Amino acid sequence: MTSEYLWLLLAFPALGVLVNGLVGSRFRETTVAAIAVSSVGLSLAVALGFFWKMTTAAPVARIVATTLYTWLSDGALQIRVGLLLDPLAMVMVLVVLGIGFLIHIYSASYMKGDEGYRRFFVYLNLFIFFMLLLVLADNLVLTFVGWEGVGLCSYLLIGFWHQKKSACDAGRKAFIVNRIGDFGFILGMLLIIVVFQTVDYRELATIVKGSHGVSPGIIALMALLLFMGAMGKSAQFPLHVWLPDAMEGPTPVSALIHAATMVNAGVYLMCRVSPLLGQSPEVILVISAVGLTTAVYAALSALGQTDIKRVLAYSTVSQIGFMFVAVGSGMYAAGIFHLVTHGIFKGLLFLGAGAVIHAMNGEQEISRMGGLFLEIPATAVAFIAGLLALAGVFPMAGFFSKDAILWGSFEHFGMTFWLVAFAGALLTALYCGKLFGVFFGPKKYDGHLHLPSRLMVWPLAILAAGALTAGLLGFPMFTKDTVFARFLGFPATALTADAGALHNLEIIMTVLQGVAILAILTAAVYMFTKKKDRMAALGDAFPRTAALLAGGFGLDRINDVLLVRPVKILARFNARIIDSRIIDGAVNGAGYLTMFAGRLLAGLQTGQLRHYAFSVIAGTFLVLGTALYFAGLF
Amino acid sequence: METVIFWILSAFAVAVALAVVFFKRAVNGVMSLLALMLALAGLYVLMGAPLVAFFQVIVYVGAVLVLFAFVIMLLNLKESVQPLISLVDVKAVAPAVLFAVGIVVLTWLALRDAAFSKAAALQQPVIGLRQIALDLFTKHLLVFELASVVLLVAAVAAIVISRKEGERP
Amino acid sequence: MTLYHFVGLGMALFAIGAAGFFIRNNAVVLLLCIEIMLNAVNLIFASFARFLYGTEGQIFIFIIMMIAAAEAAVGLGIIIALYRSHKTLDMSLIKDLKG
Repeated sequence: MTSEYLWLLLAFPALGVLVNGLVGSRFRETTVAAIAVSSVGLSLAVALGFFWKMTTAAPVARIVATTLYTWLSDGALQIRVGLLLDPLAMVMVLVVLGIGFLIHIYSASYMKGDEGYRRFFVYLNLFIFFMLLLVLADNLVLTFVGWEGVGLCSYLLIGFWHQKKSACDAGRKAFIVNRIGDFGFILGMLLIIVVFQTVDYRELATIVKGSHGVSPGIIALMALLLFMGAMGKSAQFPLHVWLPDAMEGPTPVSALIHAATMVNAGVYLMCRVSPLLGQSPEVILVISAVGLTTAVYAALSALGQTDIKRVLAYSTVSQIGFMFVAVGSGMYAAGIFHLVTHGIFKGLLFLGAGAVIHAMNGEQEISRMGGLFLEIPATAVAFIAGLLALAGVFPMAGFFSKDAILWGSFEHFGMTFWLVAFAGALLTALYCGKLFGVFFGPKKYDGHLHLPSRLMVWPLAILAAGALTAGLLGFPMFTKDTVFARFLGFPATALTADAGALHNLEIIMTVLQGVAILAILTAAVYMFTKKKDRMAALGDAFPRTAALLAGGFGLDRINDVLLVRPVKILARFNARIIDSRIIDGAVNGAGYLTMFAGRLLAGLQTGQLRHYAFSVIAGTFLVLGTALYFAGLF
Repeated sequence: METVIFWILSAFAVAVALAVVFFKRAVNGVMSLLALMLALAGLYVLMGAPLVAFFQVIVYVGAVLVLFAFVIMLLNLKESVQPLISLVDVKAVAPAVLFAVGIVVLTWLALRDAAFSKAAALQQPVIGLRQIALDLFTKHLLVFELASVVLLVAAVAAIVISRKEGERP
Repeated sequence: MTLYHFVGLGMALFAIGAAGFFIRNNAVVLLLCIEIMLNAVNLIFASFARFLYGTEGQIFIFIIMMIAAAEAAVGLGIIIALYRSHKTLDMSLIKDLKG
């Protein structure tokens, strides 16, 4: 296929960054937005072209690869700037560019009048560039470049309103927590380089599938270290603490980076290195366990949040947990499927939340919202579609993807595991019901409402349509051989034998789950809209429980006590004792020594021309004599 | 015959060089240096480099030394200068002697290299003017032109340095 | 005559110039001593050019002469400026090079 055009995907956003970044200060807001949106749009057009080619091509020929440049070369180890567009990358590219495009359009209106308008779009385009680099890279090192790049953009955008201290702190927190994960990523990468002498995904897959003679323990260690990186980026327990705080950034950023794309990079990475995971069952168990813990834990925390964006943030953490459950169950296709649907409806929810916040002049507290349905009907309908999809109500996208994951976990790990995962799904329905309270029930806000502009509503409508229809990709139901999985072409690991078979049990469980979720959701909607005050009273009745949930089970407190304070004490010790006594002493000592030596040597500086000439000629003699000596002339 | 001329010129050159160093008055030093230049020109002729001898006379005798003489006249020194350091001052004279000896010794050591003894025995035909001119204006043209730039800069610099404070040239 | 004769003479002249630089106080004479050294070097170049049979040695001399002329011009300019500001050319009395 036409691999020579692959670089275009990256080129357009990069061009957008350059144009807006270098000369954008002269442009009006509309010009800046037009450039940013069209750069992503052009890139999306190219991606769609590739997608068209790919769907019409035979499954084996669905790989487009190109090497732009050999970055490092050391014997067997070759690190290339190579792009690889296979179905997995294609899906990610479409998610990034599709949702990214809509969010760009939305932001053009949402950010209107902000003094950092241009800066915002430069960062956003830069983010798209790095995200595409991450996705398209054909080796671990280049992926890591994109990985760090999106981390940087995330940091910049969380702290976008840098006048606010909380925003700066949140940005720093995200950066530092991600460092912990990246530390694992780097170690894993180095281990792979040392052991396999390659970082190329395809070479790696070939080696790992063959008889490589590397002990399973080492492979497990590699997978575990890479998973650590994934945990940081994808906000998995206990490295998730940065994501709720990341909501300090502008809402479109939360939608794009902290819901639809970047935070899913960990899932993507795990799929990329799936051959390694396939050889280490223990790590798979770890991944599933972490995913499940996160899913349930974050769903509980979401329940306790009062800020609309923080609810969604914890929800994101929880949903990514589900994705990791899928990856751990060996169901990469289901994990990616949930990634796509989640990207769509969570992007939708964040944008909708942004519209609500925008309408209410920056109000984010759920308790002060209510009865907005009639005020902003289009936004409300779209938002509710997103909520239904998130909860997993039947015809919506979330239903299909979550069902596939739940069944996979049952099949792979058994009843207990499934029960916990199912509880997580029910909790999801519960906090979704809570968000219904924003639109229904008593009106709580009587100020002037800012109606969202058309530029903001249209992306919502498109995403809502996506949330409604993306489930079609999960057809035919109750099989592993869905449209989506077939396109992805992932070997369904051990499940190939009965991939097309129906399971009666699965049908029963699906119906059961669907009904249960619907029941819980209905109940929750009733409670949180009609009996809103009683629900609020409930929180007051059990203040400690409420505080526990709201604080994410006090993990920030624990981190504070276990990590932050010791580091601070150490820093204080360093500052008071080591720095002021030892280091300053050494520095001052060096100063005194220099002054002493200077006073000694100053005697040489007489001002007499003769003495300087003496030095010059003596030096010449020294050099000449040395040269002659080594030439063997005396 | 040539050897005799060489020795005569050499002895003369060394003598006038010493005279430059030891004459009290700068004017006498300049005149001695002029004699040294002429002696060297003679030596150049002797070694088959008439072109160099020619330039030696024009550039040094004709230009540089005249410039020196002009400056001395211009300044009209009233002999307030302590001309020589005291020759019994060991601290000052020792480095001079040391360096003079050192130069001789070092050069001598360098000349013991076998390549030189071979070269010393060679008697090549004299290089023609034409060859030098060709090389100067083809192979070494850039250096030649750069040297002219240096000269120009030096001329401007000399004017700037020597003008009076606040005086516009 | 051999290479040694000419190089020996050049060496002697250079040594005289160098020694003179150390024992004289008059700035003009110091410049004269520098000229002696330059000429000594020129002589050595010329003799090597003669004995190695190349044009480069002579061309080098031309360039050195040009530089020497430039140096003399600037050097004398400095001497004039020095005399104006210090009213003397006695280098043992001028200690401005001290920082």
